[in-house]
Amino acid sequence: MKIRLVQSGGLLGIVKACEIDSSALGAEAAEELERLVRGSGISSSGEHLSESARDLYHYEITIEDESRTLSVVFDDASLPPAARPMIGYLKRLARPEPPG
Amino acid sequence: MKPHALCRDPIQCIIPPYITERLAESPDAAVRSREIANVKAAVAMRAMRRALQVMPELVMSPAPTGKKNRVVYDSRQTDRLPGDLVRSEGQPAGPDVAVNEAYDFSGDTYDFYATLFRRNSLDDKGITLVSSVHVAEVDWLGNFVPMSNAFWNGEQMAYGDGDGSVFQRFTRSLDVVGHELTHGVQQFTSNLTYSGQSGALNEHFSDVFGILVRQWRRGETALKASWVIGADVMILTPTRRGIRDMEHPGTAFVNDPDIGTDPQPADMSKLYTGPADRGGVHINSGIPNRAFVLTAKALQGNAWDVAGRIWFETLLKLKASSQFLDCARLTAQVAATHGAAAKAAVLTAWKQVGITV
Repeated sequence: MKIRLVQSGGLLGIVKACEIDSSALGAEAAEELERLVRGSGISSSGEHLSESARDLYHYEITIEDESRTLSVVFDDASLPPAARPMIGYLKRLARPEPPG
Repeated sequence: MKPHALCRDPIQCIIPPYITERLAESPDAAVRSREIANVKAAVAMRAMRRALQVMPELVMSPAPTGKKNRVVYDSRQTDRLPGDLVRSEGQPAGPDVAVNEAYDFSGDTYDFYATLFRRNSLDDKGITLVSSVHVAEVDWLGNFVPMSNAFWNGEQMAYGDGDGSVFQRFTRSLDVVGHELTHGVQQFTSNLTYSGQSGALNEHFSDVFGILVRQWRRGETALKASWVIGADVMILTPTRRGIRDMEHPGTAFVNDPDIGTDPQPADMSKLYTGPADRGGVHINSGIPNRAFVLTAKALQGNAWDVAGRIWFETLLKLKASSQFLDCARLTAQVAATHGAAAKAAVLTAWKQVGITV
């Protein structure tokens, strides 16, 4: 499974990103990542952004495995609680990059 | 006897309730009526505080006297909004610096709009200014950690305490508080759509009025003032000076190990057209930001006097879908009503960032 996060927005407005291939991780780390992804409840592509909120962080998550590729966009307000630990994990690994 | 009409909570009053209740029974009609009024005000204030705690939606109503009405909540390092009510209008400062900053800086922002533009709060009808401090976010273990952000959620402001390595608490900056509150003003005026160029204009106006509140409060002229947004919320190092530099977009932070390099363009040749950040709303705001600074510096004096007034009048005329060129045209039209020098400064400034009206 490959998972990519692009974080943007927030008051600062920079872009941070990370991409993880679970096949390149150790067994325990791969299992932890897969648990977080399963636990997130994300099962379909879509964009879910708040209408009237300003300066929230945005998260574009792409999940690719053997059967499908999903791409979802959330912000801090629309992100489902079940997905927050997964986003927290990915945010820790994300590094700044020029906006693509 | 000195009236204690300013005393809102009998528990905190110097004169204890059993005396005020006696005074309400005084044979002297003047003393009696004054004390009855004080007791009524205290009862009303306690009822208001209880209501605000239980039903925060109640606060989205105009202040009865048309003056500012501020309430500050503490989210207590959770993501709960609004949180626990900790300070309301007229109450003295307590020990929590973030609460006091949210209160004071909201007041400064209200005063700025009221004094300069006769605007009574965000909606021009005295809407209560609601802030939550100590707002946190969930980490990968499911624990709450301090949020490195401030935001406007459509009804209130929310401020995190920062991670302590890149960011400090977000209430620490008057321009950040002014920026967030100006998103609220825009919600009731132009309501610029928060994506692409209109979204970048939305961010731009929040930067403009955020920084003008600070310059106005400090009495700084356009030529002497700093044009850096958010320096007060950042832990400054040689590689980072603030969140944005309105005069020199793209230079606020360079090769910083935590936040990289400032992505803002300074002119239209480097306009960002990708999808991140809702089409670059915090990125492309650099272009109109620079146009504003160039205008303000060309006109000299205080930036809020002429340039700020032009930009405020423009904000009231913009539509939700307005693009940079629309804003440039409108600022030039409005500037003409302030004189030939103002119009020339505005046209030149926009031209310098690559927009010819």
